[in-house]
Amino acid sequence: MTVSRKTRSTIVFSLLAAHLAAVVVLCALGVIRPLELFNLLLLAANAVIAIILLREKGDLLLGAGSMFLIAAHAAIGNRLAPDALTSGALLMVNLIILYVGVKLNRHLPARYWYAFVAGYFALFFLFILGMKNAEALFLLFALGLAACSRSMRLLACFWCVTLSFTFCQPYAWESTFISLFIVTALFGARGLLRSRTALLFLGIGLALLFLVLLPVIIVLLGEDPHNLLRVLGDARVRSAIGVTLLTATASTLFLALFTVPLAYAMSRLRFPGRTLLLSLMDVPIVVPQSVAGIALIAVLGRQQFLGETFFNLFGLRFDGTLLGICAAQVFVAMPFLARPAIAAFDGVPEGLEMSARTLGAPSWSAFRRVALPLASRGIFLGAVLAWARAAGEFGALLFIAPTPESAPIAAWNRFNSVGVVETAPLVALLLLFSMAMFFLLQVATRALPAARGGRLGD
Amino acid sequence: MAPLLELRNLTVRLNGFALQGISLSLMRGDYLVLLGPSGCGKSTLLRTLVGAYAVEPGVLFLEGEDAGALPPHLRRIGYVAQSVDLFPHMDVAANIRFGLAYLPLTAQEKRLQFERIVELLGVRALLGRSPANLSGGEGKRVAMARSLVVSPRALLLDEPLSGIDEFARPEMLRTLRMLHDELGTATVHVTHDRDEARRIGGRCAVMRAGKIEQIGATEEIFRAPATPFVAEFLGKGGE
Repeated sequence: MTVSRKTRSTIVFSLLAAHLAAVVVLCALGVIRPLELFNLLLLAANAVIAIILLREKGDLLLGAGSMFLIAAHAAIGNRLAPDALTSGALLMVNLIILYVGVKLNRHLPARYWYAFVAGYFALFFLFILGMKNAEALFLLFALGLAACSRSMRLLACFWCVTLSFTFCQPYAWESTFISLFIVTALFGARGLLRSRTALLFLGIGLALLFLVLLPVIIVLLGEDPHNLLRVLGDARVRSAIGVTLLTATASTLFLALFTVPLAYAMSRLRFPGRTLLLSLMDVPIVVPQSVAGIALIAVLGRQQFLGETFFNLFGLRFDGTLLGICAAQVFVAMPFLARPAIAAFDGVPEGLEMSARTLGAPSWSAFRRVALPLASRGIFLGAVLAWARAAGEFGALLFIAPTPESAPIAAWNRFNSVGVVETAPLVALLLLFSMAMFFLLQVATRALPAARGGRLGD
Repeated sequence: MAPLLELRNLTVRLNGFALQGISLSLMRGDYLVLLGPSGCGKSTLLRTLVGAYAVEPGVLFLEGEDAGALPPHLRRIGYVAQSVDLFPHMDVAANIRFGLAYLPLTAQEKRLQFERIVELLGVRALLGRSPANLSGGEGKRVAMARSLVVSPRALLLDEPLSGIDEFARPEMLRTLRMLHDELGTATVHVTHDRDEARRIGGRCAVMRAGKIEQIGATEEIFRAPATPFVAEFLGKGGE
């Protein structure tokens, strides 16, 4: 700001005069004592600032603003605050806020300044008008706002925390976590166009996604580790988790053994009935779990032809055994492996296998050395989905094999006997287990080769 | 002596396209250029030779034997597709070594053969690289090395100069000639470029819409086109 020397001294002297006048008037009215240390300090501070400004040093806006604030505090400070110390703290906060405001105004685009001012008033409404006895909080958050206001991203994070802890009280931490995730995603988003529409979709989409996942997040974050360990110490829980890990893994391996070759054939060959077969593969998705369970019992149960035949041949039963659990899991998980496996083989150009063949590789060798490795990532991803689906199967198990107790059945039994509060830690534990497994496998998938990126020339 | 590769009135029907009555023969050490506009069936012909499509008996002969029903891996015909089709999950060395696994050679012989081909094509510096990081020309060289390392009866090259920039093409042509001189592998070179065909010389077959229009010495074809199509197709390339 460029102002003439005369204007500068006029402003400085009138502020100083106003300060003095206020003190004199207040002394005369007996509101303040003239020789109180705090008032002398304020007067001294203003005098120093006045000298600095008069010597053409320092920022006029900042200096004049400071003088005004100090003068105002000298006049009405003791009305706002119970003692000099609090009043001083209040003054310091106001000075910092003034400083930030002025700096923003100088060095950053106008929107930073608007965001800061709007934020300040929002905080004022939130804490001073909206809550009782929250002045200290207001000062704290105003300082936070000032500290964050030089970066829009930081500012967004500030509001995430502030709003989470004021409006989403019972789930403040969850809300903080979610909103910070969204803000990070939005501000970190890169793209050739950085389209605003896409950003808007991202924000809304993420918000709704988290709303859908909210129960999971709340259960996960709501349990303290100590509780989880206690539940893990329960032999029955451990055995249920063991049963689920074992059967889901066995089912997935069994599925892989026959689905992957079938998927290769489906991808490479065109044959009558192929389309029908593709739709048939998805049948388990549309069959309700209870229907699947009853159907399995009707075929594999006691006194049923297939079940009895199997028992006579191998001496093994399906109902109420690990084998039965696997049968149900294989049934429901099949499409989750079959579909991605077909897509994975579709993604391997046939030309690659053709090349292998011309180099002397028999068809089996071309499959093993070229198609399978290149499809492995997609297949593995499908296997992870199938594993998760198998591990989570509940409805069909309820009919064909409620015992041995698998993890989802254990949660159900516990809920029935002791209710939701006592079941929550178990559920959190199961969630933790399956999610850890899921993420682990997802990460492992990245290590596998993919068919993309191999094309050369044109 | 029976030709290395012989086609007698070959007809292949694919949906919407057909090769009709193709007859040609390739002797040992031949270099045949298949020339024709895009979509005339050159690539289909190559893939048929390699064994991608079924053909009836009595049409395709390899060294005098009917090979119509011979599966691709027993034909011993090397093939470098236009998109080179290097295996993206293997490095260059593993790509080149791929076919050696199927040869009845000792480890020592395989190593020698590998070294010889690598030296010949000048790809030693590329051995540790991933196919994704090769330039067009480098990819072609590696693909040719991969095909030649198993000493095929014949080598089929689909547009070997595509994806290579203008200035590197003469170098690639020299390499092709050198390979042919050095190894004597009978070669079929597919291109749509008249100038390229002319520069290579040797024998040439001009194709159009699934048929061979004219076949003979390249110079002869350029001098005396047999049909108006050939004349027109070659004519504009002369200037």
